Amino acid sequence: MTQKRRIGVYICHCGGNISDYVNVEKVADAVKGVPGVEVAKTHVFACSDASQQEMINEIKEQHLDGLVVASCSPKLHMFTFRGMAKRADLNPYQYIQVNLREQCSWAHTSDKIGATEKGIHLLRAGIAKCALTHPLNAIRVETKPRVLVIGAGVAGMRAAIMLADMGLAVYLVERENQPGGWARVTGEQGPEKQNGDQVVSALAERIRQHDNIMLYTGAEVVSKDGSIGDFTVALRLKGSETVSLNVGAIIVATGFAPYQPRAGEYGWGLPGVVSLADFRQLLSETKGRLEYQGKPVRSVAFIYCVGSRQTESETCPEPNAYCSRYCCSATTHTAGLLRQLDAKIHQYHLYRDVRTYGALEKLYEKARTDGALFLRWTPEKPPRVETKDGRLSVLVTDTLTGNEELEIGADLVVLATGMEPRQNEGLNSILKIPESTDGFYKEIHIKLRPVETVIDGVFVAGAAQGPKALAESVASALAAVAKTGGLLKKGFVDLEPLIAKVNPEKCTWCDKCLQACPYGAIKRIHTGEKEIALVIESLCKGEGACVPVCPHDAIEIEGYRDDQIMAMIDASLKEVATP
Amino acid sequence: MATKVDPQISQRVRELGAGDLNQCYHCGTCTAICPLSEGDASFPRRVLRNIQLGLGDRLVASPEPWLCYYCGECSDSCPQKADPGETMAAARRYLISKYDPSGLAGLMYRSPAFLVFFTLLLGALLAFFHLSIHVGKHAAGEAPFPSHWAAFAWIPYETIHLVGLAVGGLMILVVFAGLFNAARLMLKAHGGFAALRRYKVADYRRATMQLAHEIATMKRQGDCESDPPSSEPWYVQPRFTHGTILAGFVMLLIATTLDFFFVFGLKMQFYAVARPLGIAGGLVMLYGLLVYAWKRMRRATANTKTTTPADIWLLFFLIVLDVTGFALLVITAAGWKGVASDVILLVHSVMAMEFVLMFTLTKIAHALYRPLALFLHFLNAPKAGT
Repeated sequence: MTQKRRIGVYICHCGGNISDYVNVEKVADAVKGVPGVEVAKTHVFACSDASQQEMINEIKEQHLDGLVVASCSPKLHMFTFRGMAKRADLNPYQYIQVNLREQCSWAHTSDKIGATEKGIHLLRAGIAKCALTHPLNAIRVETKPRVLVIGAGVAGMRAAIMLADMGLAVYLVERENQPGGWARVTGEQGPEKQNGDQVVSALAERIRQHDNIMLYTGAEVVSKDGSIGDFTVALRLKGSETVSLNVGAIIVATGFAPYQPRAGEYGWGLPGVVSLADFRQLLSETKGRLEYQGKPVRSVAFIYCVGSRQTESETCPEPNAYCSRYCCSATTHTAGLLRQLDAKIHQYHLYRDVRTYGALEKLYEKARTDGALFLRWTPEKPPRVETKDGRLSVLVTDTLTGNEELEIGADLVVLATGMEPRQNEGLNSILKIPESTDGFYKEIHIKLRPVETVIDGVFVAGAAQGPKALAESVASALAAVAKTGGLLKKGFVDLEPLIAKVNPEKCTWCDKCLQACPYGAIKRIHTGEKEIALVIESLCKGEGACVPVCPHDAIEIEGYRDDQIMAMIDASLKEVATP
Repeated sequence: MATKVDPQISQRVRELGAGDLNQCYHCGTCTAICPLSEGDASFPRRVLRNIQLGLGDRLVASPEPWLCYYCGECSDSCPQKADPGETMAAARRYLISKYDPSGLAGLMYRSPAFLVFFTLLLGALLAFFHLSIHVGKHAAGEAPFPSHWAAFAWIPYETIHLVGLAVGGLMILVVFAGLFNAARLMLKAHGGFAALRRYKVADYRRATMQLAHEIATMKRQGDCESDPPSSEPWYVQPRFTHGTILAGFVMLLIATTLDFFFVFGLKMQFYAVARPLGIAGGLVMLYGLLVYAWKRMRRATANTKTTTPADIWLLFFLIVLDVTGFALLVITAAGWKGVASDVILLVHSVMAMEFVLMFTLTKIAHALYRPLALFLHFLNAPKAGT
């Protein structure tokens, strides 16, 4: 660096969060003499409007070309100060944040002298890094106003209609031969009492009539290329015909698979032990007296949490640890349907905890006050189902009856089976969306970024992301629509420039970086006589897996370049005069 | 051995006047608030659960319903308005009907029509025998009924006397069989009658003393009402009014026994003790009965808001007996003769006998079962109630 830098250093008290433990004035004094530092000051709250304005004025007046704010974690205020730098006509990537709170004052509340010393080390490293920054610009990508929605269940259909209403072109792909997913076959939905296939038919009709939606049934995604704003996707249609689509974003709404009990699990396999879906089918087909295999049904036992909230055991080596969310509500709703058919049938509900959250509590209350009996078991002593004298017998240790084992005679045992992730190996290898520990597609942040995946431009909606009731599936589909619309209606997207960069002179193409990259952001290209790696800017996350595996040090991450890191180490190792 | 769930049993107890069991979601507030629930004798929730699921074996063996005096605190506190107090009362009716070997108790509780029919039939029979005895062929001197009732005098006195003895004997047998059943069932959880051998003589002495103290003072019923303090004045609280009825009952019993001993046994016209005692007993009891009737009409407290046909019947019987008793006193003193006085005598005598025959099987049976349950409770839990 030949030209002398003009760096402004601002140290934040954070009220007293930092200054109670770190002597911020001493830190400021200690860095005043560092080469390149023009200004070194402290602020009570650097993030406050007044402080920001003061800093902006100073940056402009002093013609500063680098900025270091030593305050809280960059997770909290990096974008705040980047924005401030921008307003001061300073390139936001020439701003460095030093974490003096989480990594210093809060961590060393019992050692004020040590904390101050550490603060000086940290700040010197930050200044050294800042001195080696250069202006960077966001990577702007133009987006195509078209969306691929994978899965035409209720979530996918609802998303498709909303996107089409926004004026975006939608390709809706369904592997089955007709749209609708599980909702088509579940019958009456609680608590609004609408029939699932009617909901599906209404949506399908709107899709048919919408000019902006193209529905492919019996079709599968076979390849995906490109990146956010500009994907190329190939579909295989019925009769092995393929179609190539060019879209700006993808919504994955592939739904769930119903849990399949193991043989013998709660009597699964015995005549009269059925899944909740089968039982609902039986109910919807019954007019008059309820019979099962020719025998009248006088007593029904429902077992909850089948395939959900499992604990590891010999028979269950890979437990589903999660709650499937819909089963308690669906089962208590089914209790109402059964009572409607025949109020004299005795109902026993063997539950662990009733999770009919929100307004669905009414379903539970109705089932209970209508006379269904609820017995609570624990995973230590799960219910057992046996055949006894030609009838089913359920043995349950009920915590509400002093943990005594009770015997219930039942004509039908209904297992409230949960949701599992779909086994979609083909699609998974194409989309490369990471999976959660439960095996569902993983979002970036469960609360704050619930429909975005780490693959930019690829969103997840509905039960593909985790068990959801229909209402929640639709809500998440509409969230994905909002994110997709926000992305595509603008026409372009700005991406972080802090990504990998290949030095074409050093690179000899060994494919190690390609192997290491989880995002498929490395591409092999020919330049003149040699083959080298190229980073696809719109795919790279700057995550850095490629850097250490390169045998020739040919890859660096902008913002974390080798020279910057070395300078930081050097600066931070410099001795500090005992404060 | 798993306990069987039997929806029929649940249905049966519900028919005996249980609260709305479907409302109960087992929060346990009733048990927490109950001033008498303690240690192993945990109620009312546990009893409610047994009824809800129809756990017959557990229900018939549970002494808990007898440890409850129905203060109504549980029903007042129930967040679901499931009325556990009334359910405990229904449980007592169920237990009485299960202990009773004759099966009549269950019928009388379950069917008001049967209750009325049985009362009338039994009344007619008793009236008939009664008239037969007292007209003409009376062995012991002057017949109290004049000759215009002579149409009834065709059964030999000896026959009636024998039938009377047989019925009385049968009655005693039935009562003792009921008591035996109750003891057998209550001891089931502790290992049957063999469990009684585990206790020492000192234990029996202590439990007997505790029981005697309890009957004399009704301390548990007092505990029941004073936590939280009742808003009613003491003279209408159940502990006092129940006490007046019990005291009246005992006084009348002594008076009648004295009459029997002197007048019929020694043929002495000696009324100096029996008459005042009888008058006092009748008055004391009448007070309690009227307070009960008034409270049941007001329905102001949890334990009076539900009145079953069996409750009405009992109050009706006792009040009529009490009033006709006084009427007879006046008639005898004034020396009135006539059909009206004959009818009053007949009604009083017949209803008194019906009372013994019917209510010993049902409502009055608590006078045996409750002390039994308490005795076993005291045996089992030396520190009970302290």
